[in-house]
Parts: sequence; structure tokens; C-alpha cells
Amino acid sequence: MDYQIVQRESDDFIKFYVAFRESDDATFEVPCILDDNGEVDEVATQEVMNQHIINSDILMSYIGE
Amino acid sequence: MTLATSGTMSIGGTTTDRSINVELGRSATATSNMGETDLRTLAGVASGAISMSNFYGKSNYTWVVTVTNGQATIFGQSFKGYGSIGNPSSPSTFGSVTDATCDLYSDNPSWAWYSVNNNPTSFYINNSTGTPSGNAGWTKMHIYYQQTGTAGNPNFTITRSNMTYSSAGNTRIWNMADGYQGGAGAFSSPSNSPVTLAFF
Repeated sequence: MDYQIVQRESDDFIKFYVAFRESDDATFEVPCILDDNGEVDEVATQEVMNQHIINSDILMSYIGE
Repeated sequence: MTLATSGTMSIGGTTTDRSINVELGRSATATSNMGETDLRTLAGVASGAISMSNFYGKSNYTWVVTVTNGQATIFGQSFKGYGSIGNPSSPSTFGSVTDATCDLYSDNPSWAWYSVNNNPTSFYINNSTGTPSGNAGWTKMHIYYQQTGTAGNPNFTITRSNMTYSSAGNTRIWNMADGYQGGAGAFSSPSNSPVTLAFF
């Protein structure tokens, strides 16, 4: 799994944490969780991402992806 | 929202169906003028004379669709909303919509809208080859419970950039916010049906 933080003009440069899984070309994105200083809380964001991947894989399995 | 079909119409103000600023997502007191591109686009008057009556019945939404949420047990799981699950040649379907092809993408893909086991609702686009690609194509969604149009104020406003997103194969999925707005799976619950979705 490859991870990176991306910011898009179309999303007002909100920071997204993006995971790419090469085995099936799957992409997972979660809005970054920021701390009190406006910096990315890497631990909290990673936890959200981990759960998001699990949930997304379950949803994908129902539709054969 | 949709602007009123008659009566008083103004550029400013806070009345949802009579304020052009509000319809455009601007503040009620924003400085706007009738010659601006955004206002002309909303009015459907590209050039020349434009009047307040040109805004009657107009909406800033890019796609509006009404879902009659259904319910089905498939693979032992409880699905609520609108969708098609299982073998593509003989899928199990539930719910219905007024427009089965999504106008937000260039190839007008099929789509779905459902929750599984009362978890938050997800919005599915069933073809990832249309443009715009990836996590794009809409910015906000208004959700209207128990109505077939966009009259009045929406029950909820969903912002795409607040959503978690995933894609694999031919499917893109956005996970909705009904986990904390209205209760998990509320958006796709038959009890709130029909639900009108209006996209910006």
C-alpha cells in the first residue's frame, strides 16, 4: 500500500490522505484529521484510513469488485 | 433548492426560494449583478437583456434525482436504499429512482445508493471511466426527506470533501454522513422515502 497526502484546488486544497493498493488498483481517501495547530494528526488519520479500507473492501465484495 | 415560480425575486436576502444569492450558495448580502456569468447561467440567459422573471423556477443543481428506498436481504445482509447486488446477469435489486443514469459524469453511469446492515449510506457510481475522474464530479449534495422535489429547505447538506472515498474496478464509493446526521443509514431508509438528492 502506498500512502500520500494530496491537496486539490477543486476541494479548496483540503488535505486528503490517499492510499493506493497496487494489487487491484484500489484507491482509498479520507480527509486528514488536523490537530489543534492545524497540522495533520498522522496517528488519528491512519486509524481512520485503516478502518475505511476494511469497510470499503466489505462493500466492494458485495458488488464483485 | 429551486427558486419560486412567481412573485417577488431578489438578488440578495435570506429567503431560500426568492434569493438568487442563496440559490448560488453565496451569502445573502454578497455583491452580485445580473450580468455575471453565474447569474446568467442560472437564469438560462447567455446574453442580452435579463430580468428577474428569468429566474423563476430555476435551480443551481446539476443533477436532481428522487429515490424510493427499498429493502432486501441478500447474502444474509440487510440492504436498504436503491441498488443491484450479486451476479450481474441476474442481480437482486431493491428500490427505484427517477433517473437511473447519473448526469454528473460524461458517460452517464448507473449508480446506487444504499446502506448495509444499518451502517451509513454509501453513494456508488458504477463506471469509473467517465469524467471527471476520481474523487470529483460534485461538491455538495442536498438531501430532502419524504418529498419528490427540492421545494423548501433540505434536511441535510453533504459536502464531498468531508466524505471518505474509495474506488476499485468499475466502482467509486462515497460514504455518506448519516452516521452522525439523522442516524446511521437514515438517508437510505424506506421510512424517509421518497428521498430527493440534489447535487451541486
